[in-house]
Amino acid sequence: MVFQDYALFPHLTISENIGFGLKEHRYARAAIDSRVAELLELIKLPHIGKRLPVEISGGQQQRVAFARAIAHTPQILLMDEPLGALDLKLREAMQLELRELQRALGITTVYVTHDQSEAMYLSDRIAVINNGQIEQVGTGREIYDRPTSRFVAEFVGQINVIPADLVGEDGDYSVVKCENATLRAVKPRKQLQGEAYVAVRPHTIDIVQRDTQAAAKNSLDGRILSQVFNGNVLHVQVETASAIISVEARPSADPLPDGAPVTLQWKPSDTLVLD
Amino acid sequence: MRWGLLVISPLLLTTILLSGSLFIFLSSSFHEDLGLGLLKEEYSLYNFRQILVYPSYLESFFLTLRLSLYVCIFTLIITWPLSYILSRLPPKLSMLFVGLILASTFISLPIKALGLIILFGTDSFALDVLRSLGLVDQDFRFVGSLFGVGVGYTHLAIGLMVMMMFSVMQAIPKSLEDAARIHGASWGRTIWRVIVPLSLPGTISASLMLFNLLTGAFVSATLLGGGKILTLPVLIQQSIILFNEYGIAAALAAVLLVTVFALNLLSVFAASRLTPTTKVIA
Repeated sequence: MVFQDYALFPHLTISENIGFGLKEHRYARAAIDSRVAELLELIKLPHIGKRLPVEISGGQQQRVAFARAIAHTPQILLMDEPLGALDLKLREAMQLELRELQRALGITTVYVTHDQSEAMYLSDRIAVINNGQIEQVGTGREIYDRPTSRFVAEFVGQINVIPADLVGEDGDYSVVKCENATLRAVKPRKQLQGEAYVAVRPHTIDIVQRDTQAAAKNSLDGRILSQVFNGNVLHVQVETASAIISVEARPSADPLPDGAPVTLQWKPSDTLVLD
Repeated sequence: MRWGLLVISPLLLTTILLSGSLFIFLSSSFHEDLGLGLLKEEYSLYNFRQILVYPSYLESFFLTLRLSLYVCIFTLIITWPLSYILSRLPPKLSMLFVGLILASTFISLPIKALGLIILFGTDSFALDVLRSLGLVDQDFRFVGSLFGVGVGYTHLAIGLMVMMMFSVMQAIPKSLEDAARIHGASWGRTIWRVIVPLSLPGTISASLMLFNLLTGAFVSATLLGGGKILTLPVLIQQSIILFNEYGIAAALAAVLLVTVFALNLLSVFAASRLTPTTKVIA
């Protein structure tokens, strides 16, 4: 296990820390020494064996904690927010390193994190947990594209949630009504009826001129509330009859003014029904 | 920053009161007693020679050190695991217990000692029970015995020691124990490899503080010793109050002071040699 605060023994040297479990499992001294040297090599810190934990940096402590955890070659490794205490830059570097180490060693790892991009980056499968209950298990892609609950949808990435009524089916799609619009959405896996929510990711929505027809798409009329330019994306808030919708649009050469009437369009296949 | 100047006056006052009285008292150790509280003018080492010549002084000296040491060790044996367990209890529960212990240490020493005297007095019920159970001899006396004084010392020592050791134990993160257990250490091995070394510096300083306190403990020794157990503080008090011999009293106090100081230095030195990581934890 790798602890959030690393839990390195402050009175033992780095080598003694890494060899702690080996000694408890009654390895021979020579075996401990060679394994510790091997692990120090693996975490790319071959020269710090004689130092104490307080004498090395946070990132180094993190790596030592990892080495100590894998010293006795566990079948399953639990890492409890191991990068939580590191600053952003170091955390990104450590993510890369952990990913490589983990792939190389092939130890099944349960990795606890609040950072969804970290989860996506490091994992094969993600379990989203809410109040101690698993909400959904799946690959990063599944969790993001097909969340099965409102909690998962809102927890992983940005999403617009619009209250709606489930009124029927149309071929492969569910049909929902919200205020004065009828939308089509991917059929939910769970059987739902009546009041529900329609969810759509901000980056799947297009902003078009009012009354542009596109029969195959969902559309909602609205008015631009505010726009924030953020380099590669333009964050637009659009007020519609049912909700304020966030849109991540590509910045265009001639921007629309605030208050401009627009129509939002997106594909039914990017639309989810959630309870 | 100006407010910092405010501490100067209490600092000065404390320094003058402490070092002044200490200096005046200890300086009289170099003057021979004339009786009736008077001292000879000229300086001499007469008092210190008396201490070395009369076995009763040396006996008292070693009795004080021995008694303090035994009580210190016994208290440590009781309080070390106790403090560890207290520090690992749920916070509310441990605060309750530590609060109770704290409250008991606020009870003044004479009351504590008198309580023990009433409880274990010559004709007390508790002593009768002990006698009838055959746990003590028929002519066993609690008050006036070394055992009684030892119990009195322990009584005052445990509360103080728990409070000192509790903070030492609390400073050791629980996650270190979890880490040790996860990496294969048994409960006992975890105590031995994690708790003992990490608590060692704190344990040493707490024990030293307790030892220093006990060598100077006077109320318990006087009341429970019944004038028969002559530790140095009792002897010093008797020299002053009963015989008005300030010179010899001061000399005894000086010997005690210097010895305790030297023992402390020695222990700190030895401890720093034993545990090279003391500085890290402190």
